[in-house]
Formats: sequence, structure tokens, C-alpha cells
Amino acid sequence: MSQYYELYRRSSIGISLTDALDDLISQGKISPQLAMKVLFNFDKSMTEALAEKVRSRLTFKGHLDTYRFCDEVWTFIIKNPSFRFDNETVTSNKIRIVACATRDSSANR
Amino acid sequence: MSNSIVGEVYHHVILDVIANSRSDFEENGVDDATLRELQNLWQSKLVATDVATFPWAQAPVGTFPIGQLFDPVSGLRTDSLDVTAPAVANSPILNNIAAIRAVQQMDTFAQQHGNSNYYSPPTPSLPQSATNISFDSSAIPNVQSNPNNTAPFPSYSSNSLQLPTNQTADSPIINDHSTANVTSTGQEHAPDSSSTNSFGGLLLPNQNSPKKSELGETESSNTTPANSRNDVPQTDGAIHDLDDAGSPSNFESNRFAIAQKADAEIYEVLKKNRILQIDGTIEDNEDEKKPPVDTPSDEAINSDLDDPDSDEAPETEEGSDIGQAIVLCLYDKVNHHKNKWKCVFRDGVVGVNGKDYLFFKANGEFEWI
Repeated sequence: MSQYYELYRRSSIGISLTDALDDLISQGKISPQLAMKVLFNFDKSMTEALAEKVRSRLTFKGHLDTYRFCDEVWTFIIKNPSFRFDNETVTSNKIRIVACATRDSSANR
Repeated sequence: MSNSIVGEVYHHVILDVIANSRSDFEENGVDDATLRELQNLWQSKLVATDVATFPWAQAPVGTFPIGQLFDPVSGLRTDSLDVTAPAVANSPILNNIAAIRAVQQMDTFAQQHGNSNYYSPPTPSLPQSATNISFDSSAIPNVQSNPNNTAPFPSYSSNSLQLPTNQTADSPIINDHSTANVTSTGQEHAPDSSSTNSFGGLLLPNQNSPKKSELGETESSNTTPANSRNDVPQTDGAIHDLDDAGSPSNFESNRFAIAQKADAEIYEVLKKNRILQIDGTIEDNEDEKKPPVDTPSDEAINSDLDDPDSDEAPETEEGSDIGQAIVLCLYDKVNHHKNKWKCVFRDGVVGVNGKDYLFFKANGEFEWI
């Protein structure tokens, strides 16, 4: 079993990889077991790349509409969020935050 | 802007996954070409999402002015094409675009210099609405990926494409579908075998027509010359394409079959891209076809249970994040005091407004209403 989270598969790069693997499976070029191994490699590479190659910081505010904590996973739905990156601000109507626990994470409930 | 590093990080992830998966592919007996096909598929689908600018998709196609691409004296300047060669070689779609734009720029150059001897392709008159149609390149079934990452077009030397020089009356440019050529003096010349364009496509000056062996055909004795045909001369492709059909009627039937096939492919693409039904099963529509059943008068038709609790649409399910703004990350701390929430996130991907952003650390302050 892989020790890395699978949540990055729901990102755009993860969905693109899943679609590409589905195409190859439907064409009979690879097996589903091999596709799962590729996805495990993606989980590892994506986690390490975010930890090592990204150094930007972000602050965001908004109105908390829904919160949920289940199986060590926090899910928030934020209404009218505003993200402030290093030198720009991005706004949206609604956003969903899915956060898994780090090794030294703490959650006061 | 943190969006600028997204393409680089994604490119690193793709290369890392492909490199780590090579041993798994070898263990399963899958050849390396399939792994390259996976990489090409992955990259093309990621480019289609347009969430960032990717290094493998950046090709300065069509950014050069005409004077920079073409020199009227020496012909095509290959030094300007060498700049785009490494980037274009990785994308077969961009190769086609580059070739089309090169021909368009040559036509524009010829028209600007008022040279009427040059063949200018007919410009189709499209309705105004047709110019706004945008196609998804990943949905076109005919686009083939190039596994070898080689450009499908030959590299031309500076002598193979020449720009127009002043044509004299003795050297007219002769098209294949003209039965007699009239010079500037008004005299008619029979088409000479040395100057006749036996190739039905676009030929540039000082360029000989390709031989039939280059077109993949064999010389046959019963081939009808183009001048003796009774049908309308063809201007949009090689004349020899008609020989495969045999006769004009057979050619018409082939055209009809090709048109039917194209319609079927367009129908399949539209069927895949249609909006899916999300508000119930498909069988729900069959209730409208059934005859109305008399309901008892004491039944509460306008019951309070029919009205939703709020005017807003119900919240979507957990798995339907496609198209939504979403943050995928890890959390360090989540604290709340009364209705004030403070969160510390890290190693996250933000997908909002059709773009992706990456962060190393994020602080969030929310107020629960």
C-alpha cells in the first residue's frame, strides 16, 4: 500500500493522467494493474514536487459555509473567498478545500 | 505570480512519473513506445485544460513578420525557422499550424507585391457565427500523436522555396488546368512538358512538380491527361487523386462516403461533449408521455415538502469537483474559537477560475455564519 495521499489525483494534472491511462486501458495497451502503479508513482512525485520545488505563500479569507472532519480529512466550503498570492489576488464565488493530515498536524475540535 | 511556476513543476512531475514507471512497464512486458504515448497523451490532455503555460507547448508559431521569415532575394530564411524547430518538433499539431501559416504568409507576401501570376487559394465565405467556433484539439479523432517526436514535414533548404522574381513573358507560370497559356503579348503557347505543372497542388516559382514516384503512384498507360478531362478542373489537391476513384461517378460516390464519415465523426464528438443530465434518471422524461392520471382532490399538491429549504441549488456531491474551484492540500493546524476559524495549510494545489496555483504554505481565516 502506498504511503502517499491520493488526493492530488483530483487536480488537473491528476485528472489528465487518469484520462490518459483510461485511454490506454481501453485500447488494450496496458493493464489496469500497471495503471495503478503509474498512479502510485504520481502520488509520490506530486507530493515530493510540492514539498521541494514550491516556495510561494498564500493567505485566504472568506465565509465558512460548511465544515466537515472525517477520517482525518478536513473539508471546508468557503463562500466568496479571496486568495492573496505573492503579488496578486484571486477571488471566486465558492471553493472547496480538501486537506489531509500531515505527520505533525493538530486539529482542535 | 505563483502560476508561472506551475508549468515547470508539472513538467518535472511528468518526467519523474515517466522515469519511475519505466521499470514497471518493462516488468509488465510493455514496450517503451507505449510509455512515450502515455507521456504525449498526458501532456496533450493537460495542455487542453489550459490551467497554465507549459514549457513543452510553447512554440513561437506565426510570431515573425513576413520580412523576417522570407527574403525576396535568397528565398526562405531557414535561420528563423531553426529557432522554432526544437519546440515545434515536440508537437505534431503545432507542426501542421506552422506549415499552414508559412503558406499563408507566402500568399500574403505575393499579394502585397502585386504579383498576379501566383496562385492564391480561394477564401471561403463563412458566416459570422462560424468564425467564433473553437475546437478542442483533443477531441479530434484524426490527430495522430508522433511517438518519435520528429517533425512530419521535411526540412527545406534555402533553395527549395524561392520567392518571386520578376517574371518575363517567356517564362509564364502555367497551371495544370489551363488548356492554353496566354503571355503578356497575347500569344497562345501550348503547354510545354518542361514547364507544365502536372501536380495539381500549389507550386512555387522555380520549383519543379513532383514526380509520380514521389506521390507514391506508378506511371500507367491508361491515365487520362488532365487537359482531356470533361469535368471541372480541380484546384484543391493533386489531380492524381481522381485516378484512384476511377471515374467521376465513382469519385462522387467516394466524396459522398467521406462526407458521411465526417458527419458521423462530428456527431460522435458532439455526443461526447453534450451536457449530461444531472437532475434525475433519463426515464423521468417518460412520465410526460404517459396520459395524466386523475389525482384525488384531497391530495396536497402544493405541499410544503415540495419547496426547498433555500433558494440556492443543493450542494453537489463529494466526487463532482470537476469544474469547481478546489484546493487540495495538507493541514498543519485547524483551530476555531466561537465562529472564527484559523487554518494552516501546506503543499497545496489551488484550481480557481480555470487556472492552477501552487503554494508551499497557506494561512486561512474564516468566519462561520
